[in-house]
Amino acid sequence: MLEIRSSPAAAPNPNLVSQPRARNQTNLAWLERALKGKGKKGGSSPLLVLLGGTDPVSFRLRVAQSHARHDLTPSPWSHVVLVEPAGGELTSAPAWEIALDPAGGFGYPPPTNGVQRADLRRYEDAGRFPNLAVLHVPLEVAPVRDAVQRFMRQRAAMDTVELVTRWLPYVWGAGRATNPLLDGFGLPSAVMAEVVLGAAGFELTPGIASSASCPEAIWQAARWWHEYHGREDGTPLTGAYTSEHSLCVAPG
Amino acid sequence: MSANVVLHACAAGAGRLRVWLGARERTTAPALSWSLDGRPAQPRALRPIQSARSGPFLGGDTPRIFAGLYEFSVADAPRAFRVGVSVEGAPPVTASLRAVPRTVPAGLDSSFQLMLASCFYSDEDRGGVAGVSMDSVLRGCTPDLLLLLGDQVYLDLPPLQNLPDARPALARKFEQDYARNWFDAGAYAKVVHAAPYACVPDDHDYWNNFPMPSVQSQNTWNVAGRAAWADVARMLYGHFQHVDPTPVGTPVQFDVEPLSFFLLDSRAWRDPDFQFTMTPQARDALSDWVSRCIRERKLGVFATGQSLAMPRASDLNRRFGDSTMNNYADFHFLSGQLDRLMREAGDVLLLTGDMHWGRIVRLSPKDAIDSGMQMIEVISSPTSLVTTPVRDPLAKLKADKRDPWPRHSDATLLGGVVELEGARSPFFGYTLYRHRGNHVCLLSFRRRGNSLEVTPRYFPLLPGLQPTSAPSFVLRHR
Repeated sequence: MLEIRSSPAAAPNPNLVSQPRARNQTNLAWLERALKGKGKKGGSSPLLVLLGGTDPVSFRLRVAQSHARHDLTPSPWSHVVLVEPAGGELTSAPAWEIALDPAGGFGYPPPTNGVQRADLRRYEDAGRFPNLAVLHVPLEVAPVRDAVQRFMRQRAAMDTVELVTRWLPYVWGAGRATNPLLDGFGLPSAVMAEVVLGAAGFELTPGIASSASCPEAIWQAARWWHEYHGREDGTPLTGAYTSEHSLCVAPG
Repeated sequence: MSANVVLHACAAGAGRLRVWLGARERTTAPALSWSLDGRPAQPRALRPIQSARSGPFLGGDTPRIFAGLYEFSVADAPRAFRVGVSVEGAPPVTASLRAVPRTVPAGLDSSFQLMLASCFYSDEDRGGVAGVSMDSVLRGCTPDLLLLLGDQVYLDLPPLQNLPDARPALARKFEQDYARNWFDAGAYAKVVHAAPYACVPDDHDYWNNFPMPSVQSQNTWNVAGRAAWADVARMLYGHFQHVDPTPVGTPVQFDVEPLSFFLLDSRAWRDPDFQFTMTPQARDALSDWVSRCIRERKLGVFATGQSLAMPRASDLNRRFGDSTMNNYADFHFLSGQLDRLMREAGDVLLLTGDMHWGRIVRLSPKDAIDSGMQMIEVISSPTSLVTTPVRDPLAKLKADKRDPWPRHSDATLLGGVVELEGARSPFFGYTLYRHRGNHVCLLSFRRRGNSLEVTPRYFPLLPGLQPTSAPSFVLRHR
């Protein structure tokens, strides 16, 4: 069983809105539209981009995270990217991830604690990544930028290289590799986002420990933990999503 | 260490470097000359150096231990201070000591490290394994605070020894136990020296099941014998373990923002008629502390020498075996206060030793399961397992030869409904982790937004064995 706590909120976050995809709209176009709706202020806070893919790696990751859902159906999400908006084009903003299928291969990950510079253009294909969400994190960009740099140098704080080596056998089906999430080992990109944002002052997923974080937990935090985030003058996550692609539906 | 003059750092509030000084083989209080970072300095004497045995416990002017408690005002800086002391008639001694930090640091590359230890029986560690293992532990981490959670000495052991009845003779024997553990590097002194320390007592800091008569300790079979033993043990506890200028039995409190620590001595004045484990002053202090935590938005850390979540001992067992906290009438008050703390301030961390195994348990109130409020109990025990005649040899015979801990048992699983009488509702208990064998536990507190994420690691006290991590948990404000 995965140690994840359900939110006591009775209704979902009203500031996380469904934004259906226009016909033939690419993911970048969808994101630009979602960000335009937030105005100038919303465009200056760090962003989390959640992605739900259809390729085999994404499929296995979505199934693995079913244990974080009360109905045990696969998660709509397989990956998360942390973006530091810089005022210009979204694709030119610094973005960070720990992909399990990096475009240029892993190279030698230790010097950056496995963190990779992300290129959002890689996720443009709405056929390969039909599920998409953008979340505004109520923080200034500067402390997040600083925390990302520190995270890359501080493997002792959270060893995400180790997480990569735990997840690769699972997604590749090597030997008898079991679901690392069940042993409390989160998905590396989500764990990176969790620890970085936590260090910068925002508790991203109240339902789960940082080291066990995953895109599904981030989704649940955005959708259901708004009352917790919003208490004592705090600001909840806001954003938009489209999550039409489903791998299976629970009966009833 | 293993010298005749020893300095240990003690826990105190931020900006205060509290130092325990011990000098042995003395007949008079020596003159002292202090330095801080190489410069002459004059600390405040919280308890000026004095004979650990005095008055009716002295019985002649024999060489003995002199101990004192001193405090320097220092900057709140995450560094060690070089404290030196010249004790008249002995070579100068210098130690690198740290003060407890003001806050749990922000940022992902730093954390507040709390070390827990308890139950050290030196006769089972004659090779100094605990000390050697601590050297290795300390190469990899620097604890900010050390809580010694009971049975720092076993005054009533070995079990079959015939102890003297007279106070001076008893005091000499008990003083030797303390001397070994506080001075000798081959014993517990390296553990005590690992970080600024504070203690809570358990029964063996007096005798088994103190203050009830103990079957295996003849001296406790009558009122006069118990009174003499209790007086001596309490006096020595005060000199070595109660590192606070208040009288023994007073709860020790300090903050590491946003944490607030409350160390309850539930043993020193425990009532033989099962009415109370706390003095009236301690009750008031507990209530005030809970109110302060609520008012100042602190996360409470509550340390005791016994687990609060133990099944109530039977009438026979509480008198002749091991009484539990819930055998005492004031348990309702204690639980009620901790329940108030959890509901109005935030998640509560309970720390204890005693059990001879390690365990982490989550307690979620049944009436508010959706809220996520919780108490987390962390048990760390032992550092050197006490001898249990008959059972130990049998356990060794039964055990696998490769088992490094043939005498140790597994932690009891706690699950289902757990009653803490006095709390508004029963709790659901869930065991998150169990640990077997001699160890120290290290809790790393890291800021996570407004909350604290705690990662426990258990370090086996046996060279060559690697530490194990338990699942992290998060402490949240209400």
